[in-house]
Amino acid sequence: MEAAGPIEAVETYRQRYGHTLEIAGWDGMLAGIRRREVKVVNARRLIDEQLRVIEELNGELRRLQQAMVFAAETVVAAARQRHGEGWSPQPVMGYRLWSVRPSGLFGVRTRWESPTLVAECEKGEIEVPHSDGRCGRLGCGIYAAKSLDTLLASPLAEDMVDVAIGAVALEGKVIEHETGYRAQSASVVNLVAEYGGALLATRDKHDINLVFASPEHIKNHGSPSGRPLDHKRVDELIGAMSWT
Amino acid sequence: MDIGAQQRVIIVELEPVELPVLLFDEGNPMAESDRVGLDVIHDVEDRVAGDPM
Repeated sequence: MEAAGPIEAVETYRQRYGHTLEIAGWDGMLAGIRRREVKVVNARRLIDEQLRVIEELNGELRRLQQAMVFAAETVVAAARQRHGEGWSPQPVMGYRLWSVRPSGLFGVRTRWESPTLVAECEKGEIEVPHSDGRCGRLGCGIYAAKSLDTLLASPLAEDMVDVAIGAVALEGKVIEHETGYRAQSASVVNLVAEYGGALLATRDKHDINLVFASPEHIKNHGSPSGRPLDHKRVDELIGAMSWT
Repeated sequence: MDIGAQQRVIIVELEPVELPVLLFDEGNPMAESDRVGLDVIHDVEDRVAGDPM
């Protein structure tokens, strides 16, 4: 039977014809090959050991991460329960009032350029509105009253001329107070707005957008105000625009 | 506006809920995906019931 390859064939032919096939340095080359084969085996063993170390470390990592997840979920659930935290898939509804000026609709601190406003706070961008007391007694957030009665009884409603009153859908983090809310985000869902002798009551999104873009829309599309915009009338107008 | 003392935090998450298509015919057993949808609904109902808004 012939040898499998040329190197083995040399040995075969040496056996067959004696040492007539002399090749310079042949035995040294053979020894070099054997040494390197041994080194390759040793290197593979080291790699296998390191792979086992990596596998063990990954297992320990997974177990540690699972333990941390469990601990985190437990402590967060306990905090939610301890602080009576609520959750809702529906927006929390509240009431707001804006001052209507030629340049737009203004809350206490800022102009609402659109029907949606997202709260910001100088005391930190995370977890707004803050509920840990860092903002003082009147904390940050978009304020809304729980009821029209509360809103209309507030000093903001003392001079009911050129005002807009509406229901807002509060989203994100909402902090419930005794008579109102502080929210991360508020979107106007209906509006009664009086400006320049005209009154517009609407729950149409497009209409509401146009009112916040420019109060002239109230003048152009509202009806004459008629009787004063008092508590009873606001109640009637807002009540007539129930939302779902 | 003074809104009184702070009471609690409410997290409002307007999650889109996939409504299941229920197939009650005997020849059309409810698909696995529908049952998953039902589980989602039950979960939401439970959470709402626990904290109705």
